[in-house]
Amino acid sequence: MPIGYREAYENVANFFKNRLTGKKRSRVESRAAEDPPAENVTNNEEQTAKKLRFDHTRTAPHRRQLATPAHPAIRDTDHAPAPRRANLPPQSPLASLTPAGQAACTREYQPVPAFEQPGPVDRQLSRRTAQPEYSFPKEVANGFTPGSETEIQPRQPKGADLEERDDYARLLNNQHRPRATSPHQHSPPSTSHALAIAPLANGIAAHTQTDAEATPSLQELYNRAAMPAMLEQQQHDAREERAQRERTELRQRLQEIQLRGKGLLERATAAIAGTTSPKGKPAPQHDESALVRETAEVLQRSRPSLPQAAKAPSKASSKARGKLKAVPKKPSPAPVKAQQQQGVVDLMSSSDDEDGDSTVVTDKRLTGAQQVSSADGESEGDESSQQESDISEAMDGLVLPGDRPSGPKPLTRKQRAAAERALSKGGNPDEVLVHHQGTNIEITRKMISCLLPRIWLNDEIMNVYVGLLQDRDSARRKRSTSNGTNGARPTHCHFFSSFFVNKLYKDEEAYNYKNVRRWTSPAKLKLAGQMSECVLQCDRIILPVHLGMHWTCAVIDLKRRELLYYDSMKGREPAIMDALRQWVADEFTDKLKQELDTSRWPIRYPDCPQQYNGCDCGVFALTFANYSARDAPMTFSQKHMELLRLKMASDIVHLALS
Amino acid sequence: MAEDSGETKPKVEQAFQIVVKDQTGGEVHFKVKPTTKFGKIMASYAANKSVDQKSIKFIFDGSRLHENQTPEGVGMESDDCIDAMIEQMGGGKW
Repeated sequence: MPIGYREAYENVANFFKNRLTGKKRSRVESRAAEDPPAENVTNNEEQTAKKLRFDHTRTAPHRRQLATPAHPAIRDTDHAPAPRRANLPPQSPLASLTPAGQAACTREYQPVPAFEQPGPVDRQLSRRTAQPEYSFPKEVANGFTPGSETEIQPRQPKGADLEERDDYARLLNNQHRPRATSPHQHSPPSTSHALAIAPLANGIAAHTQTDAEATPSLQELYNRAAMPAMLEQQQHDAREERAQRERTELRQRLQEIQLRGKGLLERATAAIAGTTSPKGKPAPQHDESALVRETAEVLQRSRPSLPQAAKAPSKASSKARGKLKAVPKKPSPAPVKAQQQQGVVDLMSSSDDEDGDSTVVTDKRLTGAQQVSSADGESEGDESSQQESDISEAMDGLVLPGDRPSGPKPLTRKQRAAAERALSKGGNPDEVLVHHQGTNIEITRKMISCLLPRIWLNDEIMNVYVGLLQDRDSARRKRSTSNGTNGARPTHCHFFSSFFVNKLYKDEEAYNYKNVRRWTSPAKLKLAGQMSECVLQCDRIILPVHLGMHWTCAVIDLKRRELLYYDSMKGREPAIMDALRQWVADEFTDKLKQELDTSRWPIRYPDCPQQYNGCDCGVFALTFANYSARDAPMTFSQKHMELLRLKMASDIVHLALS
Repeated sequence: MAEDSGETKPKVEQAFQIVVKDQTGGEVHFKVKPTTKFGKIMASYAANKSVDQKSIKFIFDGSRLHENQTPEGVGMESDDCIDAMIEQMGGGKW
């Protein structure tokens, strides 16, 4: 029951006052004094007086137990005796103590150390002992009092529970304390009497139990005191064990892979020998070549593609440095003036060079950022020995074919470090981390921070990533042409920025080819890093679509003559897809001077991984674009989003896709 | 490309007239030298529209314009149109 502030204050004040004056009155006491259970006291006085005959066998711990059964929920296990009390030999009655020992026991109850927090009944007991109207025997004086029994009696459980406990107590008493309980057994079992003796009997029962379990409960107490430390220790041990197990598992897996790789290598070399030797049989060759492919696959998987990622930014940065030139100065100090009457802002008369200094600064800043980004890739190799990093990377990038049937590869350490550095809080938000040449976008710390978990992606990240996809596409095509014609032709892709759909259709809510006609001019395509002269030579045109608050991905498959729309929230945008289909026809007419009827090209909404929140659609859209460009099955899901976000951050900082 | 009422100040230098078009169809016309940096046009446009310059992306035929580039540098011709795009954000559809 809550007490008021004033009451609490008074209680505290009383407590200290009483302590000073030597009186022992607790809060509960004073409350009890305010509304005393008067009739209870008077009614039960004679009964309790009767009981005093056999009460002198009680001991101190016993009395505590006597007080507790008021709450049926609280048993002796819940209500462990305080340590000092427990130190007493529980089974030795006070009567057998020397006077000094008795005095010591008596003293137990009088000074109440604050940390012990004794139950209210203890205080009551000590008060009653000071009351002169009960002239108890000496050994009882500091122990059992009728008041304790009578006052707590109204809260006694009634009915079957009581009877049961009474019976149980009697049973126990018969065994252990026949002398003490025998008078009760002979007395008539009236209800009121049963009620009156219930605490007594319970106490006895509890006492007998404490007799038996004194030492364990003490042990338990210590255990409880030491619980946090023990728990911590246990958790620590469990963690250690788990880590150990994981380590051994990893080691086993590595060995397994090595073995497998070795076997494959052997078979592969055998196969190669078979093909080169004139006596090679044609039938097994086919089988062996598959093995070779498998080997290559395994080896490739176990070897992360980081060296590329490390070298790419330095190349890009050198290119960027070459491209960005400061414009020559031409001093003509006139202010900017807008010609309002014509609606034409005239910037002719003003000087062009007021930003001359800032140009240099920007250049510096850019090169600085590029140095940083290139250092990300290069300096780390110098720090640690090459071997070690190779091993760690191999460990990081290891993926067994059977282990991870789907989903993106895990991050390597370098990738993770780069992503964390880019996404770390603090630092200047306007600091330019990288400048992507193809899209001409500078990525600042603030922009890339949208790759932190659960943050919406902005167009800069979308477009830079799409630009990186374009770079990868070009790099692949270059590689395949330099390799000759033996390799399979990679999918040729073109990527538009997220603004394409806006200009083509969405902003004006009407199809307008003119707005984007020049987007695909050869010069622009070259600028964007597209190797083909015309987008229609590509196999696939991939573009992120922005729908107000949602990112999706549209794919125009020119080879299969169909349009695909990937929405991580199962949406459909027939109007946009129609516009894109029409754009293909118009593009054909405009660029190739050919008529092409695209109206029968199907628009498909394939099943694709879905997002389960309201923040990852950008990551989904980019991953759709990524996988679609590779013609890979969409084997990722919501659970990979955090990983993919980190990967994107790392890719953008390195200006190359992993 | 709204036709303007003609040049009141005939300049000797080839004056570029550049249109900056926003996504709602609004146009602001600028008269610039081919060597004027876009940064100036951007700042002027942002001031005209009273918005933060960083919140707008300027796109010319699909490619982003950088502050330090010039109309000449990106192969712009007179009466060419720059698209001013506002930031696009997306997380999910509701």
